[in-house]
Amino acid sequence: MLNYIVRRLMMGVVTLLAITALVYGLIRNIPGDPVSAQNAMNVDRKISKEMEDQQRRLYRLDRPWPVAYALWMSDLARGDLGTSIARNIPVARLIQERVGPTLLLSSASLLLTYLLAIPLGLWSTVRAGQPDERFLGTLLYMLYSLPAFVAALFLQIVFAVQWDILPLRGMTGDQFDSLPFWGRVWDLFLHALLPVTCYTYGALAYYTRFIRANMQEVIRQDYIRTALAKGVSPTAVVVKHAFRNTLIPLVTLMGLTLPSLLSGSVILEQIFAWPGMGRLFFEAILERDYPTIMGLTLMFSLLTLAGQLLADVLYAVVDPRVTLD
Amino acid sequence: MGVAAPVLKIDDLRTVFGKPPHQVIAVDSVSLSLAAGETLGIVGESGSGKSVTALSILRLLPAGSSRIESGQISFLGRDLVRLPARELRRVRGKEISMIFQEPGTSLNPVFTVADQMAEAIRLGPGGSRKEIRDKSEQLLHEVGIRDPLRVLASYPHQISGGQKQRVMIAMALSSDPKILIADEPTTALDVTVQAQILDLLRELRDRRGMSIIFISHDLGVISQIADHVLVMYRGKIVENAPVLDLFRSPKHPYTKGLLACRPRLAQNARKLTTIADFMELAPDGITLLERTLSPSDRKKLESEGRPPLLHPGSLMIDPTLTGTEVSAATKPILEVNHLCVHFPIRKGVFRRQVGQVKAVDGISFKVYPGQTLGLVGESGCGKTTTGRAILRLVPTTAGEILFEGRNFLNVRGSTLRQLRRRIQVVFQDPYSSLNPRLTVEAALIGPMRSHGIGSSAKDRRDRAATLMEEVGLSTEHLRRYPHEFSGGQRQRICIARSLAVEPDFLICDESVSALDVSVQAQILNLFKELQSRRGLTYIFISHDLAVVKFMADMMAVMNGGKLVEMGPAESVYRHPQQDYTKRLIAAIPDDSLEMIESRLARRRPL
Repeated sequence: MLNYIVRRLMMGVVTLLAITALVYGLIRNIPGDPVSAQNAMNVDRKISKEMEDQQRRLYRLDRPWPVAYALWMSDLARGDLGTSIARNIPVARLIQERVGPTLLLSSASLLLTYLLAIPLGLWSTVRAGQPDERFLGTLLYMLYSLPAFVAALFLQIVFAVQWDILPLRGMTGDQFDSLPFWGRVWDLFLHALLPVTCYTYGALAYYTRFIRANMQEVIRQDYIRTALAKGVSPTAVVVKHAFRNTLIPLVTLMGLTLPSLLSGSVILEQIFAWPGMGRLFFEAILERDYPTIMGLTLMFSLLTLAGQLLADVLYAVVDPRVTLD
Repeated sequence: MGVAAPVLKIDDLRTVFGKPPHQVIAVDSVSLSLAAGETLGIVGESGSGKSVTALSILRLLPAGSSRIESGQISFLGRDLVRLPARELRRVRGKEISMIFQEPGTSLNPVFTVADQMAEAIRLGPGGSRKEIRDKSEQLLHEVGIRDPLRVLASYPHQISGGQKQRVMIAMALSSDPKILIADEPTTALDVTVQAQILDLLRELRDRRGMSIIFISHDLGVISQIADHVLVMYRGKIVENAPVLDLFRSPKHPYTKGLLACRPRLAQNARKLTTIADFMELAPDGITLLERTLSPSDRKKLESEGRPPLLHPGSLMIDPTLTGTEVSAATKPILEVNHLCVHFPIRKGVFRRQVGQVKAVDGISFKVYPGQTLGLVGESGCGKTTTGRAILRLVPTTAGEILFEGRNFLNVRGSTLRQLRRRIQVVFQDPYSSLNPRLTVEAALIGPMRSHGIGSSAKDRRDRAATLMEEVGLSTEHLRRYPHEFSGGQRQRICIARSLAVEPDFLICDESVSALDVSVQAQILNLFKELQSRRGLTYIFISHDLAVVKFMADMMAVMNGGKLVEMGPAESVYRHPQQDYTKRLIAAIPDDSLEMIESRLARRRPL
């Protein structure tokens, strides 16, 4: 197992080099650069040609991209992600600021999804084909096909505009800083309620159906018949014998959701004015903020690789037939 | 024997699948009774309703698709058909236990043996953690597992098929059941392991005085254990007799057919009798008409077809052998020299090779045109790997494979394709070796097209139609998909597919092991017919020495990747040199009357 992880990590380093080099080359070759992007935004405050050249030198835009990439790598090796051009603060700090809000939404949503999807999936297995299960199945399927941005706008209109019981957008209210601790928690909770709902309902439908489909297959296996022949109760057969086997594909899925925990959603964060990673990435691309884009790319790549490794390791943990070597 | 009151009595049981009008009556008015300590054998082919009867007893059939329509199953004063689910659970595994056909899939793969045994014991007698542990160990010991502690700590995939079935039996015994239902418990196992499991069941039964319902498609196996036999055919019981009477004077033509279709070691038949020799369906599709084999028909079974074709010089060694020799001038069609197939064991970060599994370890043999070489041995002996190496489906570590004098291992490109066409294979499992999404026609025409056989699309279709008739199916079947066929029919399709490219060499890898004995006989006869019609050369691989002896001219016995014995099939059987070969021969169920009599005499009175 340890050998396997070491080998995978070594391959991961190679993959990371390839991804970052590719992204670096690509962004350097799309039209526009940070300096022209900034100039385009500040139409009234034109800067001189010399200033522009000086800035380009500063940001290594005068060097060919492979050289600049190599320099970026050597900075990275010293633990320096560079400084955001548009915001003039270190990229590491920028990411650190934005990670919290995104993580708040995604982890709450993920937790909620699993807490609801597992019982719903098991219930659907036992009640398969009954009218109530069919109703729930259809409902979840309809939710699954409803785009999150439509639901978000709809929820905003109903809860924030018409009924005015939940905040429309943002992460905190105006008097957030003056509130006591529990007041702050409550404020955050109210603000997070609609975004978390939008994050969750589609995944819930997906996971419930995923669990149900896998369970349906597992309960046809011979060893389920063996358990019944032993006199195990139907509940124990479903929860212990069948679900334990469904866990195998489920944990693989879990590992693969790891990157999405931090990547956030561009559209939902925009709609709810949530100061998260999705918005940061989107803005950084518009601003041609190369250091920020690279910092985020590096982080997402790392998470994706870690997620895949985690999925494979978890797979071996829950399935005794798999040994990693 | 009939004095004791029955523990289980089934009256007029009717179990159906599906809803009208597509309803299938799987079990039709079945009545039986099982005395305390008695072993009841139920025999019949796939679809005869024997397993459905067994599953009906504990109501283990899938609830959605099947139901018990009428009848009574009385077990010690309770009617199991109408017993509330909660009370039925107290019967399951405690008073009536069950073991199944596929030990490989019957244990939950994610729990250790200890967990699964503990669950059974907790549901039954119960006890403290330590007591449960001790009881598990003692039960495994009782079912003949020599290292119970290791097996307890293992997951199912870490132990062998025979051990898994022993674990299943141990689990079934955990609550001292009155009845053990064994549904084809040895069908998925090697003959040698089958013999051990039968010994074990007999011994447990006698020691514990429990009743057994033993289900099998093979009367030979039933003869080893049953006191009383029920023969089922198309959902009905067609014969019901004490074992000795049944073997001495079978009444129903179907029983006679089942008795006759198993290849027997002592016989020198060239063709096997099949069920169809004993009965046929009347044109109304319901009534059975009995047929009798005339003495001249019987004679023909021994004289029709060619005598064994032996390696040059065989008759000089043993002149009593029947058969003819290949002329000394004939060149072998296939020559295998010092073939080795080793699989590397890799370890460490850089996956350095630290050892190897010697699946095939330096074997050599020759096959002459038109001959059949039988490869026999237990699971894991390397016989299948040998077949695959010859087909170049696994890489060879060392040695050479000469096909008509040319080293098959060195050819590539179009020469390789040409040779691939000439060497074809028929695999073991007809269920998984046909693509479920291809019609039979597509499965037959695909290989023809890729090897450029047939002049036009129409010609290829005609060839496919001819092939279907050649393997005993009809032209209408071409448009159908594999799931519409029975196991035997599928194997015929697999054979037709391999013949579609006009090969001259066929490797049959356990091609009849997954089939019922009655179907096995038909397929074996088909292989022989095809050989004489097309002049095919076979390598016939099986774990069943009786089957190999029937099919093969020359027999090679493999063990641990090596050839331990080789010679004319007849003399390997008559004068086995190795203990291993003797064990393989002894494992074949012997259903002679003397054997059954002596077994019954040793049986303690009930």
